[in-house]
Amino acid sequence: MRRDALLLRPMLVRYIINNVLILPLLVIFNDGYIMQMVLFGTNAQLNTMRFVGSLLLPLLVLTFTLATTLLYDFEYNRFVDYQIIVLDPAWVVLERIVFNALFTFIMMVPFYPLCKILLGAKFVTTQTSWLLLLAILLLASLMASAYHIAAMCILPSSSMFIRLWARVNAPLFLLGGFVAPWAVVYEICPAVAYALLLNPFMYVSEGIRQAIIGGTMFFSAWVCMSALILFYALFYGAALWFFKKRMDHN
Amino acid sequence: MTQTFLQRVQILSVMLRRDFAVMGTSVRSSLIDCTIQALVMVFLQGYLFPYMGMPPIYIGALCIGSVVLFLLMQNSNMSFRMQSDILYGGFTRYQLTLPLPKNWFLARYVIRFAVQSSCISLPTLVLSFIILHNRIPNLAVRPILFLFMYLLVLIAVASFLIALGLWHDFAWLRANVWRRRLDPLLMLSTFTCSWQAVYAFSPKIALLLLCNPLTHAVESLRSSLLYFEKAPSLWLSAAVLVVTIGLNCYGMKRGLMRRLDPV
Repeated sequence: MRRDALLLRPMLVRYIINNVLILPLLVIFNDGYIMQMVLFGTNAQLNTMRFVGSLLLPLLVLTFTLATTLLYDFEYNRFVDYQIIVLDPAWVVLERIVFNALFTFIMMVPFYPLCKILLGAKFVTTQTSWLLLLAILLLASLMASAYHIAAMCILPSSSMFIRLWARVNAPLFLLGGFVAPWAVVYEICPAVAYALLLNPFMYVSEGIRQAIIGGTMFFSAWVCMSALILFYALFYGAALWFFKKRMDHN
Repeated sequence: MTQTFLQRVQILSVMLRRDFAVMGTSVRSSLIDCTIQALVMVFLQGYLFPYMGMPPIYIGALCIGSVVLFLLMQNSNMSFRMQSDILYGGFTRYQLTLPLPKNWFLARYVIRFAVQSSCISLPTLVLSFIILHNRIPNLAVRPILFLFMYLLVLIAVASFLIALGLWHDFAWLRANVWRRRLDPLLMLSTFTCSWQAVYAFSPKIALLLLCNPLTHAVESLRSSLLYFEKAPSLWLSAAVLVVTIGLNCYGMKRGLMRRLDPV
């Protein structure tokens, strides 16, 4: 982990500019201000409910960017060959996931305070439980990192990134409570809503909505946290299995 | 003179034929991509957004905005592949040894990018409009105009991504191109809501958004397929796109000289 931190240090400023400043500011301007005010009206409570799911985009983008180093390593440098000589594959995969998750968590923490500063009264936080929000963010970072590490172990080459985004990531994010909570999807089409229970990002958005808005309309915090831990374990298992297969490790 | 020209046309057509043959191998997966994207778009923009309070007049506008996003995604992916090909000494360097001026060499890339990205974006748009046609109240398709504007948008997006790819090195491109170039272009355009709606909300912001060529790309497609009372003039959008293509061509030529130093 220290090596990963050292490697990341020269790029730290760039990561902060890209992921703590540029992307959140753009998301807040477009999704939190223009889109809400122009398309949906001026009800601050409803707009907050719609907008809070927008965190899924920076979360997916950052965990994806961090995880791509593994696939590029598979393709070109093969430092991972050396790593599995000195460490068990289970630890190598775990280290990647935990490091990416902690880094993502640190980068994601300023997102909602920034929303509050920039959107002011348009972003309602009177019922917000900041501690619960941090817990959900940490688990979401862990789950999303494990998901993307698993994806990198499965993808044959970096040329398949577009396919990953077109077929998996975009539907996961757009149908993962990005704009509407699960209860609304259930009202429109119960069959789709039940299918969406298999989408791990639905629990991220529901957990965040529960932490920021609260109430009975969203899944309870314990359901979201349990589901995120379960999905993390599943993705970790998948990542390990495909990692061993890829490295031809018995 | 004529013989040289014909020879160049022949080389270009052989290269394009090769590109299309490679593209042909991925038709099935492109169709799967289109279907998935169209279905997600239909559910989200045709049902979920209106249920959440969005007026139905913006359903078609959102679909078109999403298609422009797919165009950017496709072209950026192709640009990454072109970059890695240049970096790791692939086919691009061999092509530079062919007796073809650099303008023709770049034109071939633009054609390839435009055709390949249209293979995904056009069927996605058509499919989602076919499914949603009953739910789009302001549908007013002008096919010839649409094809003309779509062609301009394809060339503008393709040439922009090629210019970016040739201008920056692969490591920078991989780490920054979306955050520092494409995301600001997208998010500070009208890809999520029509210009008319932004104008009704704030005329100042709407006028500022007109400084972004991507606003013109999205709005020109919207104007050719949908009816809006207030929209930027199609001719203004076409002119902005043509100027953008001109600037991109200059960027591509300079980038090519910088990166590959062709004789």
